[in-house]
Amino acid sequence: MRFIATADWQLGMTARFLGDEARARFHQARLDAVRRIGEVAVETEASFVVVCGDVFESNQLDRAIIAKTFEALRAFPVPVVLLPGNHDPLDAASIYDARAFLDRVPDHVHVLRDAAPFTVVEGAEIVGAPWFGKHPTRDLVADACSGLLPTPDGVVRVIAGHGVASTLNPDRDALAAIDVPTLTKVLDGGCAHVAVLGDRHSTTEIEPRIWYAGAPEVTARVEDDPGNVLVVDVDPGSRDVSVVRRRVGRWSFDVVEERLDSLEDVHRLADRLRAIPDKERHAIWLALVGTLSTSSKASLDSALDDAGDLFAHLDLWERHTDLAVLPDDHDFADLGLSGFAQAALDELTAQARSEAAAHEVSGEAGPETVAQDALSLLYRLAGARR
Amino acid sequence: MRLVRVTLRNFRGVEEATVTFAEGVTVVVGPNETGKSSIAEAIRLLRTTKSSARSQAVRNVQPVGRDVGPEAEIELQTGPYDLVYRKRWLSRPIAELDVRAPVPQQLSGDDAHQRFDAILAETVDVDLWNALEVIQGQALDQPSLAHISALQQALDDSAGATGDHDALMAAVDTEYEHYFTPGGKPRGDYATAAATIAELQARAAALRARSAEMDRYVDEHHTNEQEFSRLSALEVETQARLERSEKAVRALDSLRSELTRTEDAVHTAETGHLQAVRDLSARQSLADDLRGRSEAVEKAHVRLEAATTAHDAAGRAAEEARSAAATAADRATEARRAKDDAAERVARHRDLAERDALAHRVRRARDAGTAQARAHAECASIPVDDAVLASLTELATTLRVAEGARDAAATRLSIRALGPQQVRVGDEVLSEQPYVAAVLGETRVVVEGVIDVVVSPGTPPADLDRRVDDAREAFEAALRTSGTESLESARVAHERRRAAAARRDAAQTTLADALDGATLDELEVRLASLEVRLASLEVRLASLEQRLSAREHQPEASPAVAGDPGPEAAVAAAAAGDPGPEAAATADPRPGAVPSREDLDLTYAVAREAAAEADAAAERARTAHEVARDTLATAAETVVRAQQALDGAAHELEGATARLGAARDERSDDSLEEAVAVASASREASQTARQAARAAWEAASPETLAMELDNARALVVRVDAELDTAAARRVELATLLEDRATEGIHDALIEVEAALERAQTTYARTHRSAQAVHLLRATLRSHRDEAQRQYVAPFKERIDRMGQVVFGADFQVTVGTDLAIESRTLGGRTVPFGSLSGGAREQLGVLGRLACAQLVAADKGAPVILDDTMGFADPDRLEQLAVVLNDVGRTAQVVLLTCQPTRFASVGNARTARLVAS
Repeated sequence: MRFIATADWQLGMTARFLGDEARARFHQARLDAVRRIGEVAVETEASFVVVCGDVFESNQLDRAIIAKTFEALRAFPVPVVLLPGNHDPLDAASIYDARAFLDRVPDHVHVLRDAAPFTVVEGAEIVGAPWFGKHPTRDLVADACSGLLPTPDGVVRVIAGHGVASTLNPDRDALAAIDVPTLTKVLDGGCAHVAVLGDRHSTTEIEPRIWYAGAPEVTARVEDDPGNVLVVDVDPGSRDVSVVRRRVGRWSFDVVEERLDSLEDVHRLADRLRAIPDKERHAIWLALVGTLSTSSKASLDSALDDAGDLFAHLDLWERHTDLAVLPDDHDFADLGLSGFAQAALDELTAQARSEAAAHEVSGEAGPETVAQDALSLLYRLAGARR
Repeated sequence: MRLVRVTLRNFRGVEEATVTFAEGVTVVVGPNETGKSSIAEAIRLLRTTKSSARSQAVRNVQPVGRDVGPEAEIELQTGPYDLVYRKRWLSRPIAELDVRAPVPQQLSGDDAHQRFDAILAETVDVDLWNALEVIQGQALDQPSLAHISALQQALDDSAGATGDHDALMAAVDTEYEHYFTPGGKPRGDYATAAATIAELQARAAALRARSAEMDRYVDEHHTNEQEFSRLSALEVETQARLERSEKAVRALDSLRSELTRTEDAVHTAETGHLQAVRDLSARQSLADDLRGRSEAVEKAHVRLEAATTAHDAAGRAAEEARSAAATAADRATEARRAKDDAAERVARHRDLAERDALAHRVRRARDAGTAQARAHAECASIPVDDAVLASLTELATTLRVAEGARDAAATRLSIRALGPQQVRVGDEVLSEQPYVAAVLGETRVVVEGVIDVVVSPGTPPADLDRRVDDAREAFEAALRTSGTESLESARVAHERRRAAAARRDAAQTTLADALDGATLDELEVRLASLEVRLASLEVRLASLEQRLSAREHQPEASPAVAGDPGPEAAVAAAAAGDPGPEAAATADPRPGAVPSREDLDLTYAVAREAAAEADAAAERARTAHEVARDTLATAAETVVRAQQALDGAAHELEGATARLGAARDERSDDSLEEAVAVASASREASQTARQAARAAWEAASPETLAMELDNARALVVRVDAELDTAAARRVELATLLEDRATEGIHDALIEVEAALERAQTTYARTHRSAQAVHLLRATLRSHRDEAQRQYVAPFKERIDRMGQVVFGADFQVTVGTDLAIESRTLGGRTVPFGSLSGGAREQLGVLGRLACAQLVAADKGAPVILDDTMGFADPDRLEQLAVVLNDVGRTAQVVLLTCQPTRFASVGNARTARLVAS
């Protein structure tokens, strides 16, 4: 029995740091990823698709997303089973209870509204642990599995859950954490063949047979391995499980770290950025450290200005950037500054050097940063005259 | 550059004139409109206007009415060059340049013009040249010195390097204006970014609040559902509890009725018992009553007998008391009478005494009245009173005097008897005394048997006789009147009269004494009335005497009560030792037998006391009698009452006996006692039953059950109400959630947050750039201003120094960084340049030019040309200006054009040149 396990579609989600145009594309990208999942299902001849929670970004979404989702799902040749997660719980405001959902849900799309085993296709049933509120106080998966009997012969049973696995959660006292040993016991006891989970956006194998499918499209820069779906093969006889990840995501959120101490470093960074493909689907955060001369900084600014137009997002990650800009002997030598201009340059240089070590954490730039900016500006304006 | 010479030909009013300039100050004197301005103008035209030009400026200098071209020639040294430059305009124009040193060169036409310009550009700051020229009428303006590079160079040399960064500054300003207004306020995107952020933040906050609200509704919905379930379960449970309670309460009802029934039984039994006890007690009462009444009859008998005995005794006592009282009353009457008798005797005695005294007085009065009347009559019978006697005496004296007088005249006869023979003279016998008398009449002297002698008086003088006669007549008349015969008799009469008067007066006194204020009649009336009273008293006394005497002869009949002496005895006792009562009573009023007053008074006192005592005894006896009588009455009443009580008691005894008999006939005493015993047993049985019923009732804890029932009912009501509330809220929340769900809050929030993030990014970047340009501009400007302050310092110092010479030691100016004078301070007052008077501005303008000329090195400088400046009209100032000019002349060339030869006469090292109009 082969099926596709996925999770955390987070439909309706977008990224606020993106510009208007990129944001719209990113929004659409999530639906496109869903379409590609359907393609993968066709391609791999999977029997069904199970989505382990957080299908929708929120219950407070504009209901228009429902129609778009159904449109994307309509191309799926196999049943699609949706599990409500913490973002879209089955509470009073649940999107699954919206008139638009109930009226138009396609026949092959199913919502797991309780923990009863759901026979999705002949020979395969899913035991889901749907969320009923944002703050459960129990291990929902353990609850769902508590009454399970060993699987009948020839039937593949899949556990679909959502939440933080206890082995990953540093907060051991979290009430709703999915207790991995318990789950393992269920699998070992022959009550299910495999458990697929949602909530962690990076594809992760917790234990053999226990997987986080991960988000099919990236959602945040901290994710390790997003953009995948799992193609799961289960042999009900041998209970063997094989999991293959297939990439469907097109977007990347990356952090680029560089140490910049010379013009060469600046050029290297520029080259590195230039080499990144699919720039329009890339969001880049630069974590830059080092000390640049004013002229090198001008080159950096210029390079980043050029690149910024290409990427979906390119910006300094302020929290991880510590870039000092200090004029060196050559920066202003050729600019012919004399008299009072030279005196002003000297003063700004002194300011730029002072307290250069003490970097302000707050948003407001420190005086030395302002002085460095002023020097860069002087460099540009004085240079522009020539 | 230095001007050496200027030659004008056919230039305005000057046909031909040459002015040679000193190295220092040259004063060019020329009449107005003829020449002096022409020098400056010529130099300027040479510099600026090609010979071929036909401009108005050129035409203005053509001599009037002559068809000749105006011509100017200038010789000057500039840089390394010595040259002469000549031009003629309009008519046969020429331009010639003759460079004499360092390399001789002659040029003409445009070549000459261009070469001259080139040389000037090479060696002279033309701007400076222009600036230092003061054209008449333009003196009010300051020269624009800021861009004169020669001056800048000069100032740079003195202040250190400044650098020329106008383009940089302009670029910085442009950048700055991108973010800030000239006033330093944010502008454009920079200004709107903050507002945009605030607005977006507000919108985001609102949307988050809305989202949170929706979450709350979801939570509440969840809670409400739980509550609804809980209440539903509770409703079932409370209903069951209510039913249980109601059942328990119903069971309680039968217990309660059992309790009520037993309580009623107890009540009945107690009532029966009480009745039996009461009956028995009534029977006992009847028996007791009978006994009591028998005893009462006995007691009444005894009391009646005692009362009768007492009554008898009281009757006797009363009789005794009555007779004693009567005896005492008699005695008291007797004593009172005795007292009255004694009193009457006293009164008689008193009246008798009074009558006697009164009679005596009447007698005395009568006697005195008689004596008085007699004396009065005697008095009245003797007319010789004192006056008459005095008159008679007088008259007698008068007579004797008259007789004396006549006797003196008459014979005096003196006879004295010698022998024992009697001698008679007249009728009188002569005694041993001689007779001596005047013979006034016939006097016969006889001596019996012896002689008879008659002596006759001779005849007296007539008047003497007449006076004697008169006197005698008067005397005799008086005698007759007085009824006397002689003075002697008159005297006797008088004496008698006086004695009578004395007697009369004495009688008078006696009378008055006897009368003692009353009249005799009154006394007599009183006496008469006394007599009458006495008479009546006598009568009464007489009867009294009789009565007494009658009693004396009668022995004491009534025996005296012991201890109660009779009045008679008391009277007798009182009179013991004295004339006894009998004596007193029988006292005879006859004189000698009358008892004394004191005796009478004593008798009376004794009688009175006896009477009082008798009265008291009588009173006591009467009182005793009354007491005895009262006692008797009381005793009688007691007897009657005792009799009545006895009768009543007997009657009641009769009744009681009858009642007891009747009762016993009806029901015997034994049956009554048995009934009590039966009732008592019945009561105890019913009480036991009640106890049991109550215990059962209390064991069922009825209060608790009642409370539980109440609570169960209230709980059902409350749960129903809460269930309704929860159901209503469920509908509300569903509606609210449906409403919120359609809003797409999440999408809107994402949009706003994205916009906010962009705005914040933009703002941060803009802000950073703005801060940078702000800092850069501020730093640059502060350094530039500082540099310019240093740069203008020498310029200012020059002006101050010259100004202090001209205006005084407190003269000062401030100079802006553009080298313009900004203000002048003089006499402690600082005035902005623009506010100064025209003259003052002109003065400062000249000083500025002179300072400029001084600062610029001689080889790079240009001559200062001052065209008759108007400002220094004040001669003193002019003098001081001359001093300054002389000083400037040491290092710079100064050309002064004036129409007044004396104006600059005091400039020491000045050369004076004159322009003469043709």
